[in-house]
Amino acid sequence: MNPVLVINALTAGISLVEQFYPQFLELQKQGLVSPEDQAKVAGLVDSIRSGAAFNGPQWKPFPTE
Amino acid sequence: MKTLTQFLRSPICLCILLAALALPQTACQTRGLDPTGVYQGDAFVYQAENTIAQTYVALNNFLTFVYQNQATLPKAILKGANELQATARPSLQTAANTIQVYKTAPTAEGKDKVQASLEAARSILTSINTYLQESQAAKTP
Repeated sequence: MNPVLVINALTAGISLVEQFYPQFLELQKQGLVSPEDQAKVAGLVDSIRSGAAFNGPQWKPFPTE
Repeated sequence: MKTLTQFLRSPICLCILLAALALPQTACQTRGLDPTGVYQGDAFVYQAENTIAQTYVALNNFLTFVYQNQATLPKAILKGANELQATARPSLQTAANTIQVYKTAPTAEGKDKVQASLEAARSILTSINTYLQESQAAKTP
């Protein structure tokens, strides 16, 4: 086993990882629920909790007579 | 040795290395949720609140549809919408408050209460589906 070849191979492997790892992390992050989307859910639930979400005309009883 | 070099340069090896490097990071965060968000990686609370939010959106859309078409819809649908208005609002608010209690003091008992309160949300969705089918049937000659 030639140690030079092993070191070269490992160096090549590390170089590839360094090249593609940031892209991999970015792709991984894209699959997650973003902080913005999380904030939207939390904001809507806050308005449900406070009652502000129920103020539209569609939330008033409909005439049935 | 040439075989090892070829393997180290192969896409499969790259994938293995990337997976190995990503593993510690993945293990530290909740899957599917950016940990920098307001839920701080708490998938249970996020999913519970998202269920409440999605139920509200579906209900609000249904009531808006009824509001816009109330002149032509059967009275039974209007009565159903009124029942939903009356029951869904307290149910959703109770569920949201139950989650809030769990967030401040997360316990196994609190988690059970959250899951029980979400049953109300599922019931609302079932009712919406029923009324939508009825309103569709009423419109179909």
